[in-house]
Amino acid sequence: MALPSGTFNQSYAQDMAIFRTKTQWILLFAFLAFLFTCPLYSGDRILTILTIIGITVISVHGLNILTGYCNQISIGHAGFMAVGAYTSGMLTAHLGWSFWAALPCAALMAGLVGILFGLPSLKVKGFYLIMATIAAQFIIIWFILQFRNITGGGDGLAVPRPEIGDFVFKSKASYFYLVMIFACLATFAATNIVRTRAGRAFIAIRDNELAAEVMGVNLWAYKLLAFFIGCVFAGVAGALLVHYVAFATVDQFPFMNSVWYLGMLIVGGMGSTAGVIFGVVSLKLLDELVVIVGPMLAVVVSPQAAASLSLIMRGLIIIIFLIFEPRGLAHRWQMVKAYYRLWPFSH
Amino acid sequence: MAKIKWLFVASLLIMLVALPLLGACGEEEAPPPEGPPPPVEYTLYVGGCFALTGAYAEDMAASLAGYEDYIAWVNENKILAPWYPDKTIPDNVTFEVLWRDDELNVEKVLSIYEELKDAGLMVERVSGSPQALALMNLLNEDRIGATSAAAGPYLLSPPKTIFTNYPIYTDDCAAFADWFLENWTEDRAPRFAFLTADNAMGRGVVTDELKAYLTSIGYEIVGEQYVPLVPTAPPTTQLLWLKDNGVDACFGVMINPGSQPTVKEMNNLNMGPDKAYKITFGCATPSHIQVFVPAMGEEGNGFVVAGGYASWDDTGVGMTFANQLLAANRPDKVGAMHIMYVDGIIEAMTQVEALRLAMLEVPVEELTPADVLEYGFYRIKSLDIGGITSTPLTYGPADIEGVDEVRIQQVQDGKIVDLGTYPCHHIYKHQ
Amino acid sequence: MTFFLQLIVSGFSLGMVYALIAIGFVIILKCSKAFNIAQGHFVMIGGYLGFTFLVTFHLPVWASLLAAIAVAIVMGLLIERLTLRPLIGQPVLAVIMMTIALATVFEGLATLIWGGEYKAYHGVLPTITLRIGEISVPPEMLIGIMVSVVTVAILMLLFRYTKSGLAMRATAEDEQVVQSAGIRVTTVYALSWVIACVVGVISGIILGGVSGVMVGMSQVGLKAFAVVLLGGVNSIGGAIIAGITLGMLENIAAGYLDPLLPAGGGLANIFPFIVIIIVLVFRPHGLFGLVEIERI
Repeated sequence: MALPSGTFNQSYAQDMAIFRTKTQWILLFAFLAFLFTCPLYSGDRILTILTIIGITVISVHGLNILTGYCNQISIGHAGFMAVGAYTSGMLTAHLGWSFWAALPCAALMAGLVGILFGLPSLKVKGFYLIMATIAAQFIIIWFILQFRNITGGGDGLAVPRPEIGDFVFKSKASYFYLVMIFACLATFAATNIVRTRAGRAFIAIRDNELAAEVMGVNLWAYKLLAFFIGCVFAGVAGALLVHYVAFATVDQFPFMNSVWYLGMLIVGGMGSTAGVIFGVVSLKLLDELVVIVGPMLAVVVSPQAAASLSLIMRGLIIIIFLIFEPRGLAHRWQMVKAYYRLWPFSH
Repeated sequence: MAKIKWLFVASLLIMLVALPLLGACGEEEAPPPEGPPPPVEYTLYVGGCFALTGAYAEDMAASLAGYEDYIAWVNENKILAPWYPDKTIPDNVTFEVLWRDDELNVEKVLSIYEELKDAGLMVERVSGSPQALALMNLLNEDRIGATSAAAGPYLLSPPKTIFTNYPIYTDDCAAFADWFLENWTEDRAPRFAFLTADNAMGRGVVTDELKAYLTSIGYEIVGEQYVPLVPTAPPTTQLLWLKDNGVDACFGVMINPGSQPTVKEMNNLNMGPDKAYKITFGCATPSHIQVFVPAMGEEGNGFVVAGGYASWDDTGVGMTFANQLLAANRPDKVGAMHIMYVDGIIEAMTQVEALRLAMLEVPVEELTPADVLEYGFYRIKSLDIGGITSTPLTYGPADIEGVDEVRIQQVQDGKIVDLGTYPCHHIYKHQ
Repeated sequence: MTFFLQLIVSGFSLGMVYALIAIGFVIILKCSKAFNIAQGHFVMIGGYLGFTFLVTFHLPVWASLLAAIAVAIVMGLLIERLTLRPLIGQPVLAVIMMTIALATVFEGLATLIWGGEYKAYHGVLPTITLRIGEISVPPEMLIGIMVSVVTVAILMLLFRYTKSGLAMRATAEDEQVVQSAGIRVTTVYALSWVIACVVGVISGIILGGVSGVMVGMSQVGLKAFAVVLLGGVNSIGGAIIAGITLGMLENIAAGYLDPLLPAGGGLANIFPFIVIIIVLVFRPHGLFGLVEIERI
């Protein structure tokens, strides 16, 4: 049920279009208009949350291409973010590069490191690959701590904020715009990368590796390409994150973030661009909900019990969700769409 | 199928509730100072981020308890502390503790920080090194003063607006070295090594400036060894390395889950100040000796903690006050409370004092965070904590380290023994 | 030389515990293809249970062990029935996510029940002091090794000689064949989770006796992953040998390589991961794993 009743594709262009009807275009522009006017009617807090969500969306898009489309499961995405973050941070802080020159380098560096740790993927998959990426996370962080002369080690690294001419992206609103532009670009890129020749190759690899190879997909090249693309997204996200805080520490890229990025993907729905956004937004909002519920519960129980109860609640919500909707929010969204398009008929 | 659908809708609804809640909370708790004119009651907030879950959970829970009990007492008695009858709080002002659990997660801290700022919290608190590193620039830019339960040397370079009530870790180490050298009787230079936790907090103590200081007073630096923050195995390798390299004194920043197994394994390997292999092991203050001793007893003999608070049975007014608060509010916890309860009291007292001093200059309804920093924190001079901290607290734009001396305590015969105080050398990393 | 031997000895005793944790992980991975991120959390819960029974309730060691195992069995059954059974037939990733959620719940529970506190029970477990020259074994570790050996032996016997053990091995081989042979796969799943919980809890008590227990202890699960990888997923014997090897290698690397590194190392923490990468590149199926041949 991809299209509303009465709409038919009559040309290749129509068949390929992402936004097929006028309503979809209007909705898109309405959403973008709403997004980009957010700073007008929301405080710093909402902007911070949205900025973090935007950065996470960029990162998880990369993970989606890698895991959702190419089936190379990675639990080390935060490590690759750290590579981008520190590359950009060191270039701007030590060498005085502009953020705009450092960002592509950060992306490239993260991509290259991604390829490096993706090398085992040629021989192994599933559980073994998960292990390789977990290893990547810890080895990367350890390396950053080792070279404390240039990375600042445990003390962290102060990095300048991005600027254009004299304008510095210092206020919450300006950084929000910066991140949202990147998030939109990332969404656009992610949607289209998977529609290219490479994207189709990824899907072929995901669905059946051997069959893909027999069809002439070069596994070696395309798996590494998936790692490269996925980690480029991570690198950009990492750079945006440290320039936002104006400080880089390894604590910004903990192992549990890597795990939760995968969690966001699963909640949203693997292999779906919309799923990424659903997943990130819902889990981040769940996080915020947990923060708020804690002190409310504290009226009844002790503060610490309240904090842990809200942690348990977060786990339970995900468990309930997995049992009743294991295919992700994106799938449910498709069902809802199909339902209202057909209403009042059931088929 | 229908049942499943309903359950799903319900769980979706729970998530959607998050949205209005987010908005609502910011508005409901709008800053009271902007409210209607004087004779009305004002509520000023204290508190900030607490990592109530995660590695520092027990420390932070105790600290929050300290905050709550102290603030309840202040609201009742309207003075800063029993020994400060002249430092009165205006009658129309009451304090309230505002806290959020940041789970030791940097991204969460950022949004919590904004939330609390919107809610009208004019002071802040950071609960650990990750949060301190993430927030210190933001706090400085926003001119908000914060108290801290983390005291890494990064706070000193250059001084920002996070204020500590126990010494910076590098100063702890220097004081430990001073003390050790005083008792050193052999002719050769003592060999020194770092044995510290493997995270930002633990690694922060290993700085070139500190090494230069230690060398200058006559130490020979051997190297450094790292123990996981929460070790899952005894640090045998690290200790053997110390033994193999003939180290006489080692120091590190660890929390109790790190220092207890380390000392235990030291005993097992026959290492210690009065064991076959002579070595003295010291830790900076997050390794609270008041927690260490009940757990380890005589097994912990010889372990040194630098920069700690007074022990629970200290007879000074400060500890007496803390014990009274504890007995009045949490009788079941007497004798079993974590020492960070005292940190909560000190932090809350500092925040209240900053707000009180600022209120002397600026009317309460016009108070801004920058005023609290400028007229509050920066004007706290010789704030007596009744002997809990080694010296009274003094803060200023260039002085964020509240105390000027480091208290050295050692476990002897399963008891805490005070070995005196040594000056802070303000050793930090120049960037 | 003493230095080297001591590293080997303490590495060995540590490796036994790693192996025990890894076995729980392998059993679940083999039977239900689930990558159990929460395995380290079973260990953490075990450590806290040990504290509760040994210190709070003052039970003797054997009774505490039995009580903790009983709790573990209930825990395993509940986990399987409530959270994993509904996911049968779902993609592997959904199961991984479920274990992430379980890990969160366990962390919350530990903070709720035990206040997230660091609980140590030094000297409560029986100790055997063993000293050969200057080399000593951590006293609790020796008991740990014994418990590990007994547990592994029981598991081996279970797999070899009992009906349900055989069913588990068969399920690991081919689920459909097992089902057509009239074996209830769900029972096998439940059993695998119960075993994983039990060995996790036992190793938690041992580790807790050695270095105390804390929420962050769950990190030990990560080391178990490395052990599993080195030993090969299909082999329990492999897990034991890999556990010991890794424990020793980790110690030796930290002892000899750390001082050579620019910022003083901390190599013990990440050494398992370096081993992982090396193993994956040169011998992806581990030392004792079977090479799988894939057909379309």
